[in-house]
Amino acid sequence: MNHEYPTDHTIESWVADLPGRAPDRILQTVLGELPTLSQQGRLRARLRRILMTTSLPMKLAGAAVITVAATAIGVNLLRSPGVGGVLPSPAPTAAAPEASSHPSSAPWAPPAGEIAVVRTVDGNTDIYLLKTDGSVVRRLTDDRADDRAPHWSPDGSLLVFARGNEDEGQVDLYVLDVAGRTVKQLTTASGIETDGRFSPDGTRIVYEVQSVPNNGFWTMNADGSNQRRVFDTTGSDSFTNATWAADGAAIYFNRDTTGPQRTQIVRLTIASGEIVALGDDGGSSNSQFVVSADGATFAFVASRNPSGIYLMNADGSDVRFAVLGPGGPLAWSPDGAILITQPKKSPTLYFVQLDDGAAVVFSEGSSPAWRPEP
Amino acid sequence: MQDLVALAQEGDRDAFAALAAAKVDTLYAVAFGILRDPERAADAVQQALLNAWRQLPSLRDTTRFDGWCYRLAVSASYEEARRRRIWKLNISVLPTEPATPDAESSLADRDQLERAFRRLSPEQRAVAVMHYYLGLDLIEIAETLAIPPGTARSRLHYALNGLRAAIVADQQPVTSTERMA
Repeated sequence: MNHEYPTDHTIESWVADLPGRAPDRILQTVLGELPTLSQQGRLRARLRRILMTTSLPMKLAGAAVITVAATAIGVNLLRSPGVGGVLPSPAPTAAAPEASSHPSSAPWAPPAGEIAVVRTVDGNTDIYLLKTDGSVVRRLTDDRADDRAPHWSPDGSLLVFARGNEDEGQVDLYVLDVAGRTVKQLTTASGIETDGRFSPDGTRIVYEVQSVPNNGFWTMNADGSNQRRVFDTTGSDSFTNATWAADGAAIYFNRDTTGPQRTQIVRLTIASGEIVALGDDGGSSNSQFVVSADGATFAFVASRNPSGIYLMNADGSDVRFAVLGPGGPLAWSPDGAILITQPKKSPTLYFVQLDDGAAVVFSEGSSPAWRPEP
Repeated sequence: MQDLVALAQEGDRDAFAALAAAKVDTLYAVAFGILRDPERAADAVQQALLNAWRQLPSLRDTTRFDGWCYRLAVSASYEEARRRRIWKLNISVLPTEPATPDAESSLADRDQLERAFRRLSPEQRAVAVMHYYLGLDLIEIAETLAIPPGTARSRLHYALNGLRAAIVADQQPVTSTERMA
């Protein structure tokens, strides 16, 4: 072969020869979304807003994404007349040799239970209580402001949630006594206080503050007293998903680093301030995690091979592939057998069995919180 | 520029719109250089600008706005590359014709370089684009990406070596499934 290889100069010239103008739709989309996206707001909140206010064409596009994704990961799509949604059931795939070794193509039903879900109806975003068959038990909140990010107390009697208008930069945490149907405001500071979660003993709440100069993860007693910051999130990295460890002495959260550009699951020991990355292989991203009800196991999205949902022990050991999805985990059933997942850009929540990866449609909505069994 | 950044930090959407308009073309070129796909590059830039708006109040040094934006664009491009990887794994590329032996054909060279570049990791592509397109030196790249200078140097070194090696390999007929981020 007499072909002359390109010189380094040719390579450099080629690398430097990039498009000079960006598509107009980038700025149009970004500037169009600014009014619905508060600064220091979270990406998850933005996605929730997009999903819950999306128009029919967007929903159809979301379904197309699911179809493509499911095809890519070897999931068969069936029509489920019972729930009127897309019902994926996993097919054998080389990418998931262990977890999907006994795939089930038959529809199945999750056990009875109740799940709090955020829905936007007629432009009003509130929290609804659903049965696991997707039927609505009742609307838990009814306020002109948006109600989001519900999380249950360990005994299932209380629901902490965020109420407010992110556009105006004012969101506070409230707690709902589900039986008594009474709501109490827990935080009153200016700025955004959101994503509250009860400690395993129900006495404290960890939450996120997005308000300069108070950015950080804070804790308070369950009645709203004794508020104090336990971690400062100011900086170029972003931090989300603060969740209590089983012993109540530490919190877990996601750390998105811009260098080396990945997401980690970390454990912060509150007393000492020590931070340890869990299940870290030095290169993969571990994101969107949930902790099992007994606090012993993480489920999370990992950028490993194969991609999908992984499990690991609470100390970060024994990282193992679990299921392909669809989507990442958002909630865990009390018995630890089922995850609720949601594909990106999809309004649909799914139940996924961990033992065989079989998935069924649950409902439309976001931020599911499975009510603990009393 | 710094005045606009300061205004945008305080929530001034018009100021941010001006900043975004000033940076979007460059950010798009960077993302395109990493992803080599116009739609994916547009998605990455869109995400980077939304992240910029969201995280702008936490930017302490407004003089570093440009580098900070580049980092967000690179980071969003990495995420875009990772997000699509699983889909790409199942896509087989039809066998292509062997590279043309016409040494004078710049078109063939460009096609050859395109194929070779796609075989680099997103991290290697990012350093190459920042060096050859943005004109940043290795120290500036290291600061922008928050990586050690030695890492920036080695990524650029391996990127060039990878391109040369891939081009050599590309002289052979392509018959296997192409796997890329």
